Order: sequence, then structure tokens, then C-alpha cells
Amino acid sequence: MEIVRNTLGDTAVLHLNGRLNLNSSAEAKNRIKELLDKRSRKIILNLTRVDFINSSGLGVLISVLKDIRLANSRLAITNLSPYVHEIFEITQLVNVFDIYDNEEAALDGFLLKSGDMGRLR
Amino acid sequence: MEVYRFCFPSNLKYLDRVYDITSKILQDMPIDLMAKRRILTAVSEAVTNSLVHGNKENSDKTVRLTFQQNDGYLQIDVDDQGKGFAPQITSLIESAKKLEERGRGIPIMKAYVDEVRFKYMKRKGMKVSLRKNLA
Repeated sequence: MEIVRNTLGDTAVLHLNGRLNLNSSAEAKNRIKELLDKRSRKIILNLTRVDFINSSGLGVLISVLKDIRLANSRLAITNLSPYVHEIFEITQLVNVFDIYDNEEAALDGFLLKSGDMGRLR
Repeated sequence: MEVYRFCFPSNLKYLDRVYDITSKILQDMPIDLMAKRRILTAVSEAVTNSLVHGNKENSDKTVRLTFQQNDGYLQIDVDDQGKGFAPQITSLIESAKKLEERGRGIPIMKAYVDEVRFKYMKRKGMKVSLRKNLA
């Protein structure tokens, strides 16, 4: 699994690319945590290039979410394919993660949740 | 009836090979892409369970994967050489609430194929059978 980090203003955006299964999960988890320095308060995981995910991959995302919550930061997940979205629905994780169609919608979501409506375009 | 068999050591690195082989077998089946992905996911869950809970990732033990395409359905058997394990049926709602990191494999299998059966054969290991109607 390849993970690339970008920034959008004060938000860290990680693009995940490949299969998220038990074989890649430990490396993916460590890499995501490594890329998220302690200053990242808003984080987007863009899954547009995740072409496979199973329960092991979901476990990685939950572990990352727990760490992010502990750090009082916020996480959004974006660009889920219909296949990936379905597995979030089946496992009820749509009720746990903040999921958005794209990065822009996630940025707006961060603003709405922080109550900083003035900055919303 | 077409039958494909594939046997591999209990090492997690074979999960990607299982994905590739399963994709290739499913390629020409008369089902849509979503159905193929659901089967791929169910197979990956069954194989992961066999590697981890069945064979305890012991590379001296193997996992055997068998695909049988019959009229109207596909059956996939995953056989390990372990001492058996108790399949745990987790509540997905509770798992989500508690932010559990594990335990969703069997519910995902059940959601993605029409039938999931577990059978422990003494001194042989566990067989997980997945059946998907193709009609």
C-alpha cells in the first residue's frame, strides 16, 4: 500500500493507494501514524485509490481514528468507491466515521462542525 | 462443472496472491463487478481466518482453496490444517459502537455470499464453505 501526504491549508490529506488487507495493515497503520505529526488537527484520508478493503483494513482505520480522537484532532474519510462505501454501511461504520464525497466537502464539514461558519464559502 | 484448486503456505504474503487468483477465476463469470468484489472480500476473510485462527500462521501448514462452478452457483472451500476455532458471530452494531478493531470477518462473509458453513474435521482442520448463487 502506498500512502502520499499532502496539505490543504491546515489540513493533512493522506491518499491511500492499493489493497488494505491483513498483509498490508501493519505497514499502513504505522505509515499513517508516522505521517500524522502531532500538529495535524484536521486529517482527511482519501480512499479513492483503495481498490480492496476487508475487516483487517477497517481495523486499521478504526485504530487511526482512536489515535486521532485521543489527540483531540478530527478525521474525515473521502472518495469512497461504491464497493468501499458498501462495506462501511454493512459494518455500521458509516455511523462512526465522518464520510464525505470529496476533500472539499470534508473541509466544509470541518468548518461546520467547528461552528466557524464565517469561513465557509 | 469447473474446479480450480490452489494450495499455499500459511504466510500472510499469500493474501495478495489469493486476491489475484480469485480475481482471475471470477473474471469470466456471469456476475457484475460489485458481486465479484463481494466474493473477493468474502474469500479474503475466510482465508485470513484460516491463516491466522486455523493454522496460526505456521508456514509448515497449508491452506487449500477450491473453487467449483456449477450450474447456477459458485462454491468456494477454504481448508486449513489447524485444530479448529470457534467462529465468533459479532454484532456489527456493537462492534461499531465499541470501535472494535477486529471481529468483523464472519459477518462480512455472511453479508457477501448466500451461504457460509464451518465444518471441523478431526485431525484434518477446519473447512469453511462459501456459496454464491450466480443466477
